[in-house]
Amino acid sequence: MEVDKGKGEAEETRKVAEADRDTVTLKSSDGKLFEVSKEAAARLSTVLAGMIAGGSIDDNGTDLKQIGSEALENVVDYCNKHANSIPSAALISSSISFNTAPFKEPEEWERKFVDRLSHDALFDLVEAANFLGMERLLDVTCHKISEMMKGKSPDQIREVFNIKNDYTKEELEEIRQELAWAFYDD
Amino acid sequence: MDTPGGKRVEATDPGDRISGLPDELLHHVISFLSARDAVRTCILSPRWRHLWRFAPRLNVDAEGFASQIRFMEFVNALLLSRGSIALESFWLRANGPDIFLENFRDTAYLWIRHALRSNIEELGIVEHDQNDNEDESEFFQLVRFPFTSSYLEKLHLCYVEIDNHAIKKLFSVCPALEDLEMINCEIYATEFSSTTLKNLTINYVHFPNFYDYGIQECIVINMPSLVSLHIRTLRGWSELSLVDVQSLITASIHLENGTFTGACSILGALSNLKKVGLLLPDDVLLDSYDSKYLDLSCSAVAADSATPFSCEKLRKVEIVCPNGNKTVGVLVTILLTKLMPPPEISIKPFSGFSWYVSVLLQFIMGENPKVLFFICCGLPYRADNSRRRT
Repeated sequence: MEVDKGKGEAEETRKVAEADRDTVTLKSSDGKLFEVSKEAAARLSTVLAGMIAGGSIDDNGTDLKQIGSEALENVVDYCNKHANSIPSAALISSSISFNTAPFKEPEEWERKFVDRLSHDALFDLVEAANFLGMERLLDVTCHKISEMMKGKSPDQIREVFNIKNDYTKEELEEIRQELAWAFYDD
Repeated sequence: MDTPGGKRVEATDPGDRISGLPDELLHHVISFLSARDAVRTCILSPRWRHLWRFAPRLNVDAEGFASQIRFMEFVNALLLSRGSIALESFWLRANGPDIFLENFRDTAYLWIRHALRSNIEELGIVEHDQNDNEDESEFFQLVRFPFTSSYLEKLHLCYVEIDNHAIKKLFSVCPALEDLEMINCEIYATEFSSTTLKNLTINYVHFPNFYDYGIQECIVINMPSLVSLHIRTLRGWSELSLVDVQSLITASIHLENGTFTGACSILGALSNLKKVGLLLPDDVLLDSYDSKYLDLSCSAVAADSATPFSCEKLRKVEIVCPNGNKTVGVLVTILLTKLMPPPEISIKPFSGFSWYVSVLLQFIMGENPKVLFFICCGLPYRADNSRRRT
């Protein structure tokens, strides 16, 4: 079934030929609608891929009741940015500066993407990524959280994340004894 | 904030978003920390007490340890405390001052075996930075590759010494291996044959004194499943033979002693490239700040490739260079006379690379404008080496 679409974007035309619609519409818990590239959504989210494959995508907006509009906007923004990032540029730069990073380190734009989020927005996005089965976004957001912990003392970490230390003194002592090997040089 | 004897709050504080995440997400977060930081999260609150034990990835990092003994004590205790909980990845990094895995090789082998028995898919071994080492080099030796695993898919080695025997054994005892990355390793091996490997990266950029070993052999790569190949600065190796690389999609190759003819034969072997590829033989061309060297290189190129090289798929060559670079004219002449049919040539001003890259060639193949072949000119390694030429 070939539908002639008059839409402008040159790089989109190839994708349009492959399917009737090249976007899907998602609806947040508070009823806001967002459009996202079908290809990116299917590639980045196992849950959306399943819904697209299973035909349970609603053209008027697929309900995602667990995700608020701010988090969904970030999810959609991430998908669209991902779809537009140019792999050849990344390849050239990575071939020029090798690194031995253990993980697929967040790319520059991914870093910026999570850096601008507020504390709450970051956690909303982690939960949304987890719900939608977005492995890469989960990596990038969890990596960001880990960076907020790196090089900090337990007290500083508690302060950053508002964690209440409800250990008793006896319990703390017990842990420090049990795991003494991890607490030298303190 | 300590409330000794106080009553525990069942629900987490509404402001404490992190402790409210499900366990598996916290395991994921902890997996990004170094092993010591990961264990130390146990002290945050009772919610965190045992989370570290289940982190699926372990980054055992010597940084911050006062001594080798403390580090070894830590890793031994860590592995014992974790027990046999499954692991996805294990990284061992000797980046602390005066900590060298080679000094306690047998213990390090035990740790690695322990990790492999936890069915890890990814293993990284990073020996102490040899550029840091004033005295003798202490590469971590994988003598006869004393491990085995049916699960290992990715292996990263840095400052590791490995020979032909060990490389052969690696490919036979790790039948699931798909990714192999060797950075600054001492590789006494010339034959790389594997039916499973998909990604191979070999990089010698900071290798201190490879010239001393005087190895002059042809490196053979026979890997029918290989999808991506990145080789950078194989000093001493003048030839690279790609036997079966039929699945290759991405390649970047940078040979220290590469010749234009050599580059062309590699290009021939890469003719099936489906997508993007880069090829970097560095003495094909030239370094603008040393015009003498540059002229020599250009004439070498011209003499070297008496017959034009046929490349049907080559559509376009992009030359990226600083404004006013004198080599461009020579370059264009060489390309137009040596490549059949003559490609379209476009010249772009250069910006953004560091000083040592003076001219960049991008060979664009096929229907879609994809970069296939990429020549990086200049001396993209240590400054002291480049100065020797002047």
